[in-house]
Amino acid sequence: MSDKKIMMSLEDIMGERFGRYSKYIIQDRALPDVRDGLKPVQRRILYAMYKEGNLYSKAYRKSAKTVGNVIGNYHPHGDTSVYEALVRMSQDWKMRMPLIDMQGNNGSIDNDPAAAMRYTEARLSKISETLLQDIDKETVSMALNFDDTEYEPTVLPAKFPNLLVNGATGISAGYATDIPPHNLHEVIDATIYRIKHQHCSLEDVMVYIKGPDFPTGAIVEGKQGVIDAFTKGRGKVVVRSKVDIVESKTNQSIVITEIPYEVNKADLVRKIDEIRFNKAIDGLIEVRDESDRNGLRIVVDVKKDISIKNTLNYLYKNTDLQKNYNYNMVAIKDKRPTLLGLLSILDAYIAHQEDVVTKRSMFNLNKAQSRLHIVEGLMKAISILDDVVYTIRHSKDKADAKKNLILQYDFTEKQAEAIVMLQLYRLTNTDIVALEEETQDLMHQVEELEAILGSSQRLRKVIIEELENVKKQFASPRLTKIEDEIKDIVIDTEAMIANEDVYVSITQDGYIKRISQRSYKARGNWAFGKKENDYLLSLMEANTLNKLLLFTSQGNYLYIPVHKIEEFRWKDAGKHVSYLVKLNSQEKIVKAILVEDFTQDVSIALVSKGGQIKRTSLKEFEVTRYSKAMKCMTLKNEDSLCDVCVLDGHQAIILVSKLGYATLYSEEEISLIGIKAAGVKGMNLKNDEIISMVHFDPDKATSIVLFNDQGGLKRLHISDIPYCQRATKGTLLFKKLKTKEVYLTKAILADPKDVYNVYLQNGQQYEIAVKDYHYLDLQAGFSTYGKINVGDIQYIDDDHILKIGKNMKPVELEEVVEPTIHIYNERPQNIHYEKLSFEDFLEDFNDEDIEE
Amino acid sequence: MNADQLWETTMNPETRTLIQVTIEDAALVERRVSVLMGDKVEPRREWIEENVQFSLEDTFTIE
Repeated sequence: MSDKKIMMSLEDIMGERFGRYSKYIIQDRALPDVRDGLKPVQRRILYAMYKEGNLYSKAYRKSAKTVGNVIGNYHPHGDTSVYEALVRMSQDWKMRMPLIDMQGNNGSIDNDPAAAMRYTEARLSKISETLLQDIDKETVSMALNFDDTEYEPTVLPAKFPNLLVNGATGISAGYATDIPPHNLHEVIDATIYRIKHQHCSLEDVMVYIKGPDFPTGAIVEGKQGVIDAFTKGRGKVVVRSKVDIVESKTNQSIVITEIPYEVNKADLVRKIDEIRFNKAIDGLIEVRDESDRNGLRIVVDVKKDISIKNTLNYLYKNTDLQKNYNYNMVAIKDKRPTLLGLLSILDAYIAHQEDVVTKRSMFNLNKAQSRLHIVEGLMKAISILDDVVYTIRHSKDKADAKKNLILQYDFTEKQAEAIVMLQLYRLTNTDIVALEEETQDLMHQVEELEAILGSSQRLRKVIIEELENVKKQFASPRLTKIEDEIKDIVIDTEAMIANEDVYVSITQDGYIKRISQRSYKARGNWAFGKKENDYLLSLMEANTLNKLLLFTSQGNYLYIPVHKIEEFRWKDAGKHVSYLVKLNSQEKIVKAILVEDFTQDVSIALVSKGGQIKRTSLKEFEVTRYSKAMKCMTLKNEDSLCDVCVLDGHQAIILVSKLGYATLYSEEEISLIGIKAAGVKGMNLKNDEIISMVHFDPDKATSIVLFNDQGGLKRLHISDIPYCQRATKGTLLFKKLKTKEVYLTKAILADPKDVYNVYLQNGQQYEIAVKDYHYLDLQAGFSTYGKINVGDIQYIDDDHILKIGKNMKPVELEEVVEPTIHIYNERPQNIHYEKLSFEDFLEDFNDEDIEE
Repeated sequence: MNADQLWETTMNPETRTLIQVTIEDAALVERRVSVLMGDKVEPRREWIEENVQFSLEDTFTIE
């Protein structure tokens, strides 16, 4: 084997190959040249069409023919990419000055594709011809094509600054470009000003070019963004649709007549309709695309009583009705990808024009001089016509005649050639006059051209004249309106939400759903939908404008606007809350509180299992960003949040521990602290933990009910529990048995009229009516639930929905005819408790035996 | 390309040249691949600016 083998490391190979690839992509594919603003495929299309005489003054020619020419002669790539480039150059919503005039379906602003190239016809647009003008006068350098059979231009003469006028977009390796279209009139004025004032500032030029001018019109906001872009090449502007608001008798409408550049109208309409369909905001009735051959028109019907400004702002923010345009003006300059400011682009263009006009002048000068030389010869020949004729007649052949003419009369080779080729009729009188005139003319031309070549001032004047000429022919008024300031989009989200009364349910594992009134009424005997082993934590009547606070075992809370909760049926399990707010996998929901109005002067009390307690003003729970769970109580290692309640400043609380101890004190004992604080000791625990926090209005509440893990229940007067200091051990609520340890599982505030639902693990539900149980004193043991087996209880629904609203306080117990308990709001030194008697209430209860 | 052209230029063991790809420093390769093919544009652009000579025709100097 004589294989030559080269060893190369992977990184070297990749580096070398990628280098080659990226250089090609950057220079010869995706980025436009700063001088003519064209990518190679565009330039090749225009040149191929020009070569074929497919001009604006002639008839259209089949697109496929052009594509074939381009591929066959210059651009060995896919036919679709060439045709797409051709189509794009013809689209008047993409190009400010379309370079191709296409006959047939060339696509639409809805992004539907153009007809296939066998159906459409094309020719150069009128303005394209100015890009190609003078190309045959050796103005630009030509290069061999891929098979060395033809020459193609490396750049076009470009009689107007196409890069700025039509813009460009492209993605290459490491570089991308985004240049918006600008107004031809303004760009030419700016170029002329720059030619006249080579050291002018950007500000001076910006007197002419105020910003982009999109073919789709619309409104551009943000002068600073334009200045940034023109200075450094990068900058952001906001493009906003042009809309009118129309009021009619039955509704109001947003009429959109211009949309941002490069926005797909069909997508925009679809997006708005999705918002309507999903009821993301209230009040949208219908979206209609009324665009026709006369122009673009989208109508959004909005209900009469809705703030249309708000609706519009919402659409600006959430759809492409408003869109940012990021200038990133990268173009190829001196073969190198360069981020360019406006002045550098203009300078590069001007330098190119100077080059083109110089070369053209040289070409014309050469031509004029050689013609002049011939004309001089002819005139001389006519002046000695008889001699010349004689000489020719006596020559052997054409070559001999030329030789003799040169020898005898001192003609040059070229002149001699012209003389022998002369047609006889050219010897008439008129032609001599014509020759004389031509001489004059040529002399004049030569003089002119020499002046241009000899003076840069003259050269610039020519460029200016030509630019003025293009401007005169093609200038069109600005379409895009420029506004200096970016308008803030202020959305009053509250106003956008459809105001609806609903039900909201949350389970311990975090499954949440919104149930419509209709679905709730139709629930019949269906069981509440939930996952296995999960249980309902709260079911509450709410309004879509309310906010839900969910407190978790790890001392965090979730803030959830009710309208964000997805709607489900009563029997559906709903969706885990993490789709609204992220929740740790071990975190359980402990409590749900519904808030209508955060300005209410109430506080939230939180207690941990370890006995820490705190109070924080409700206002601190209101947030604007709520994608994450937020801390509401800092907990020590093993500790977890146990219970949460709402206090209005006149409440007292009872903390109940697992071993049966209770402390009772005024809420004022708990200091009001910040939302992240850990709190203070609420109870002195010894191998014990808090199981419940009961809050009550000392003027109204009467009794609490305790549940234990053995299936026992005990109802007792709150007044039997002595008031105590905050961090104390508290009072034992029942008689300890010597034989076995009894643990409390829950303590709830009880009104004689209350009926509680007890949910069993097997899914059954059992009702406990408070009045069925007599009051027992502190020393007593428990009553049994009745038919329920010990240990079956999974959940007791105490039905005390916490709802805070303008006219709402924590749900109050109904007034009962029972002596009140006095807990002083001021921290009392000596407390006197009134002993209560049962008598008044005995009538409320059935005489049932109290079982031990 | 015709079969005999392929034979002449690429396949013929008498005249062909093979490149054997080696990996000497896996970390370096890894870095190169992620610069050239990765999601981030900025390092790629820097690499291109350092390593690609735009002004010269068809000659590349790498590193």
